[in-house]
Amino acid sequence: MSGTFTMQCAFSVFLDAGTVQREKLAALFNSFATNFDADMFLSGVTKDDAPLRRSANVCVIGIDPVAELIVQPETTREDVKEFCFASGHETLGYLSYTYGLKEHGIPSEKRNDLPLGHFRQYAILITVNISTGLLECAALESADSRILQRLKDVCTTPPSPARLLPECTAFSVPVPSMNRDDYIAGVEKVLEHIRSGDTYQLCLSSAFSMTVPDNFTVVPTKLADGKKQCDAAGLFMHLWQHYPAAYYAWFSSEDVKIISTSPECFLRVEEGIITSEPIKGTVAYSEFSEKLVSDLKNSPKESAELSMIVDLIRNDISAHCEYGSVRVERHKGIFTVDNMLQMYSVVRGTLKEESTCLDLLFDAFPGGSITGCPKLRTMQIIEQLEPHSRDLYCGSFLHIKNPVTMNSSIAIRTGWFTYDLSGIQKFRYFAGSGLVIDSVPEQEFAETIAKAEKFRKVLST
Amino acid sequence: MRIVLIDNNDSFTRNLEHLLVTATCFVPDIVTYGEQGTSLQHCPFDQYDLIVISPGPGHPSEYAAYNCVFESGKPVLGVCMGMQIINQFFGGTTDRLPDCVHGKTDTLEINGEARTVARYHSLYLSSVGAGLRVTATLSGTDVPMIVEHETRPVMGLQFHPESFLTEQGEWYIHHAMRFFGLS
Repeated sequence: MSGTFTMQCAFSVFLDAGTVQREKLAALFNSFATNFDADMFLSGVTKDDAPLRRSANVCVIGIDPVAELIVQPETTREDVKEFCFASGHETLGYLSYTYGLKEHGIPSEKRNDLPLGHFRQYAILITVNISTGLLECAALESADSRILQRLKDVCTTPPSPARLLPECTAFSVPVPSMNRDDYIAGVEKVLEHIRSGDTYQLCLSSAFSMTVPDNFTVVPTKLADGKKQCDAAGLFMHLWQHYPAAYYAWFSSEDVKIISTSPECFLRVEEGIITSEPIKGTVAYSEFSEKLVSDLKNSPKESAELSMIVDLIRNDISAHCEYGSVRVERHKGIFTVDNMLQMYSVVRGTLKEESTCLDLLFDAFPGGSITGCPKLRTMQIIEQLEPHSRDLYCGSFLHIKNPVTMNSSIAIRTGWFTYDLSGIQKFRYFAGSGLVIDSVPEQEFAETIAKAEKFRKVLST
Repeated sequence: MRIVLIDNNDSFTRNLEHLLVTATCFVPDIVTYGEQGTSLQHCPFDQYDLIVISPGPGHPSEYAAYNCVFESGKPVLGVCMGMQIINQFFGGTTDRLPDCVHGKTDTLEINGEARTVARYHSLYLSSVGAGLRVTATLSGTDVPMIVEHETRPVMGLQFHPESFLTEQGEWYIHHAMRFFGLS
């Protein structure tokens, strides 16, 4: 690691934190996105936000990129490792599900909106602990002092909360890539594959597409009368403020603005200790009750769904774990997000001395909870059955600190602004459901709709 | 002891690898079946003391390259698809299980003791190959859960000792080693 480029603390500030201050934080982060073109990985869940919610509270914000790697078909794993580890800087970015298809040798001719992956390192890196309110800004020596001064000003005198999403958001009704009948027919085909032993569990998704209305801008602009139009960053911050989840990400790739609102950790590595928290088993509710929790935990179908993925994740991390170190903790934990109960488990292991967190990631990618099991054949079947490309959906957002420290999400509950083939601006998002032998097609379709509901509700009313 | 683990493009093979290390203290070599099983033709099976066949997707008839494994005469332990491949080699048949089960446990009686094991199988041994003897069945059924060859060091397990749902997974590796005369 080169010592000459290490980051120095530029300033630190105590912000008002906690649930009540959420809208103030949202206004500050909105300013980072709109005035500083920041990439932002926001945790944004404290234990007060939702019943049973695991707390995850550190946000990472990158400003003023100094280096960039766009993953192409010919980009090697070594290229990515070199980019992430050689400079000693922290990296933010993503790998798409399509990258995972390529790595597993599964051909796909489907159209993608986004590159296979995109990584950046920055002159300025801000971390915010939303439980304590501590904001720390680190910068390279070469960082632009005027940007730093503007940042310091905005952090010490944060903008007052404004309406992030004024009422102008009449997006068109979402058009699914698989309508109800298509999805149910897909479930039937999957069940037949399960009976033949080709797969034990398969996650089948649908893509949704909404036309962006004229009064919505993807890139923020001020109107002549000083009023702000609805914009993509405002939408992202509105979601962050009102629908807390642990792995929000706001990232720009080429001209595409990406909004990820995932609740799911894929792989976290802290000084070589690996944690994965696969989620399986979903119950949508209008009123929370303890009975719902025990019903979910006692459901043989949902338990089996989770157990299969736990065995899959154990397998996927084992290639880079010390022998005897892989264990399952907190099997069948429950948390809530967006009026859904979600069941999860914690799988841990110790990274082999000769392996890096990226070796682990590449060999475990894409996350087992969104493919199903066994992974290779299941991904081949998914590729045949889904009419759309998953693209970034079901890939991962990554925050890589060094060879033994990394955090990553499963990029579900994720969408982006793009143009369709006729040049019409669209918001595309996705939702899916894990199918097992006990699956009832109609219920699986309903689960997919429940997961897609957050975007629809916010944008089309 | 030298162990080779054949991976039928499965997602539990690494779990089996870790289990073998825990149970035997030896690290297995892993050979991947790939699409046609060509890697098996180049593997020096006679140099190993134990060959383990992993689980895998599909039907055992898809895995046609295993003759060289059995011709080596070395002890063979097959798990799930591995057991079905053994059965196929000895002329048995494998068909759809009427109520297939994945990611759930059942209790087996083995040598008079009740043991909890994880099941992942859509298919089962509908007829058992020549020379194979069923030593454990799913309770209340005749679905074979363990088969042993009467004269050769060959054993198959229909359930998954490497799953976290199976209690005392190492016991099954030791059980097989005892049968093979390796312990």
